[in-house]
Amino acid sequence: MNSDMPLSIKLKKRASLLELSWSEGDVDQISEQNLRRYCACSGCRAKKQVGVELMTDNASVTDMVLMGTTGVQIKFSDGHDRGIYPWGYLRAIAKGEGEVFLND
Amino acid sequence: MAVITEQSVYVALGFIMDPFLQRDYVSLKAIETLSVVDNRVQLSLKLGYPAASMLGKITLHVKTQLQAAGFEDPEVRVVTDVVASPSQTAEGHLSGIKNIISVASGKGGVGKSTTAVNLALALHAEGASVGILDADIYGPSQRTMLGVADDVKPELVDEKYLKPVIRMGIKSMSVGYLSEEKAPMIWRGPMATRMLSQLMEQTIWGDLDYLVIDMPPGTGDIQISLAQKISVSGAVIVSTPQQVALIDARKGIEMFNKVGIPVLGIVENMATHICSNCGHEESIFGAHGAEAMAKEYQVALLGSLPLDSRIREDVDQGLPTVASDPTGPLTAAYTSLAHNVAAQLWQLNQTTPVSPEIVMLEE
Repeated sequence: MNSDMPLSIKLKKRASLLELSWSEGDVDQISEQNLRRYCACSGCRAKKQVGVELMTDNASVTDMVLMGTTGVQIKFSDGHDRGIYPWGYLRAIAKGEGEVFLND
Repeated sequence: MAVITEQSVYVALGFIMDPFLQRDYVSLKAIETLSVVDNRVQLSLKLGYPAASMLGKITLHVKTQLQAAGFEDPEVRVVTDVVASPSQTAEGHLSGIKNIISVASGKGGVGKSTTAVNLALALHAEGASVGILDADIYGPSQRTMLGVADDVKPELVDEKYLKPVIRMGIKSMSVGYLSEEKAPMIWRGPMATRMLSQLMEQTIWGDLDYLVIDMPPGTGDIQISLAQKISVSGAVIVSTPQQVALIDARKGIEMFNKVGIPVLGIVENMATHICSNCGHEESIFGAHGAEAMAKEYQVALLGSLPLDSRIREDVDQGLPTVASDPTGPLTAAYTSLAHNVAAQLWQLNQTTPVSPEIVMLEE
């Protein structure tokens, strides 16, 4: 049981936004660009650490797959599909605290 | 004679406890129908766990309790219907599975596989449809324990999907079915994990009330990946009562907490040994360790099983105790374990949030 699970995950393609509704009633929005930028897979994190910029300009979401109750795997149009986003991480990204979450 | 109202029956039912959960039937939402006809109570209870051997007892229990509360000659009917976990996926070959129970431990050798197979058989004996997945790819043991002959291989469908091997009424799948018994699996992390999720997702399980996963020991790669990829409804932790095992079991519980899988409770295995010579009962691995840990983590102690050579002999011969001696005291212990696991799961499923819906909008 994961009480932090969102009620729904909506991808609004035209607005290029991911919208998450939480059980507390609040709604978070994350741009597709930010989703790609904050990809937390080992490859992307390593690139960030050595200072290589991630190409995020034309990153749109092509598919999302639930990972049990823990989070969601997001597949991007640039072919990258290795990032799994736990619920807490998505919340942190929306608040602009993605880095903090990863370093905790 | 006083006139009976449905309301008064509800009040009385609020004091009748379920034998496995120690909660009343009103708060468990177990009342299917209730009516009063000619001043006589007609009640139908629907329980969310399989309990074929207990139906008579539970019916009688509710009847006498109602009589004691002043309702004469009540008509009580008890049925069971396993409730699907709200977190279960609706896709692929896993969609027919109502609940996935992961049987795990921190330490190896505490009797996980033995407990898993007997639990699966006991759930089946109580009326549920059950499957078992042997996820221990480096040391698969379910082929031996279920007595599946060496030449039996799972049937291939569409060159991609596997039919589970059915033994003693339960569907089973194991890496052991696909490899030679003597040849070890020499695989590293990612390979092993992918193999396992394929084994899980490409098996045609059909409709199952419970799929029991016999996990490999530890809290490594495979455990975490499996836990994340598959919506496990609840985990059962097996431990022996001694400190070294309990320390590892604690880590197992912490792992499930981290990945958001509810722990249903702890099974204390090899709790006591009764000397076959003199009948002296001894707690070889210490006493009450698992009980204390269950309290610490506020989870249930689901069952306690003795260290008995019969349990070992039976699985070595490929006919686990629950199947070989259905009326014996050891089977009774496993049946009680099955009741507790299923009842805890039922209670949990009432509060588990539904998995979020993923929508792609063109707007």
